[in-house]
Amino acid sequence: VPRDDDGPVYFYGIVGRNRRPAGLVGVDGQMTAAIDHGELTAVVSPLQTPSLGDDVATLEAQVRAHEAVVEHLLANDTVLPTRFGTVVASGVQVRDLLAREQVSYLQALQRLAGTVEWGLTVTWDAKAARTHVAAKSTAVVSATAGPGKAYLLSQQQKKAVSDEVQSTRLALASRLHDTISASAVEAAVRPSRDGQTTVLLASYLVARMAQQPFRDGVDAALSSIEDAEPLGLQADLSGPWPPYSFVSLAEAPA
Amino acid sequence: MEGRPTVQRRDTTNLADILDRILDKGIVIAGDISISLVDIELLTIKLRLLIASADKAREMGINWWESDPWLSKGDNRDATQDGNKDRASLESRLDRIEETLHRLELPRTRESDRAQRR
Repeated sequence: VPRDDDGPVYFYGIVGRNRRPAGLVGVDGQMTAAIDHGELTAVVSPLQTPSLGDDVATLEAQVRAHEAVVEHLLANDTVLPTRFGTVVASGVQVRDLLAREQVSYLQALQRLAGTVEWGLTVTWDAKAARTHVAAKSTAVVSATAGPGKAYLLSQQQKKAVSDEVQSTRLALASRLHDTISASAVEAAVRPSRDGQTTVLLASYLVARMAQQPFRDGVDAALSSIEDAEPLGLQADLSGPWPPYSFVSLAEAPA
Repeated sequence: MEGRPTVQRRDTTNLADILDRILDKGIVIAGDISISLVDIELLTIKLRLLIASADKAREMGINWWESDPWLSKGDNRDATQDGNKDRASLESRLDRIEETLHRLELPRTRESDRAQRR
């Protein structure tokens, strides 16, 4: 039972109470403990110093410990993972939080039951894509133009091709995403980081039982495009993850 | 062209992938300052350092800050002083690391990046 003077705790996530987890090794090698309220159980571990990441190696260990605990919880059941670095002043305050947010946390557990998150990054070969787009482009330099005009026209053409590359990239992203999200429960698209090689950056919430079909679907979606248009598509799939991308918006307290 | 696209499977022990998820996603206990004890701004700086060092820099063998006497001395000194100085030191260190990484990354292609990871 948490007491007022039990000191700060590192907070990993929330599971249903009937799935009360056994002790796991968490951040800084501390064993995890369960804090219950109603149908909810928060998984925490004591934290000696409330600051994290005294140095980079320590921070990496703490990051990995966070993930390891949450993945253990995921292996057994649905988990609502917290963002890394969630430290609460005491176990009592964790229980207060469960009490305050119990409706939304229970709804989230229900919504996410039996699912896992998969991350997808699709890239293309930007050079191949440009070549492909340029070959199809209708913007053509006039062969009979004088040197000055030819230069201007070629600049215009470059700009037109760049625009077409961007619109091709966006169209490709939405086509892929539409196909892939059809075999997912929920999807979250993230903005591309570079705007050049990244075509699609997204997370998908997938039923545990449907993970293999989902992965096959990603493969098929890419192949069908690449067969028609040689764009050098590549995909990185990572998972199964705890549903990090599917709790942040819905559960942020008002 | 190389024909069929490749779908690579990365597992969830890849540090970069972990960081990609746990830093800006997951449940946030917002709007209740009294229960959040972590200086998020400072933690973010430290995490950026971790990203820079662990994911790319170490892979390329860049570890100049580990042996830079000014930096290591700065670390020890700031650890015992106030948070602002600690933060300023980390920020300047981070700026330089990221700048260095950016310079080094320019000639590298995505393919060579992939090959080195495997």
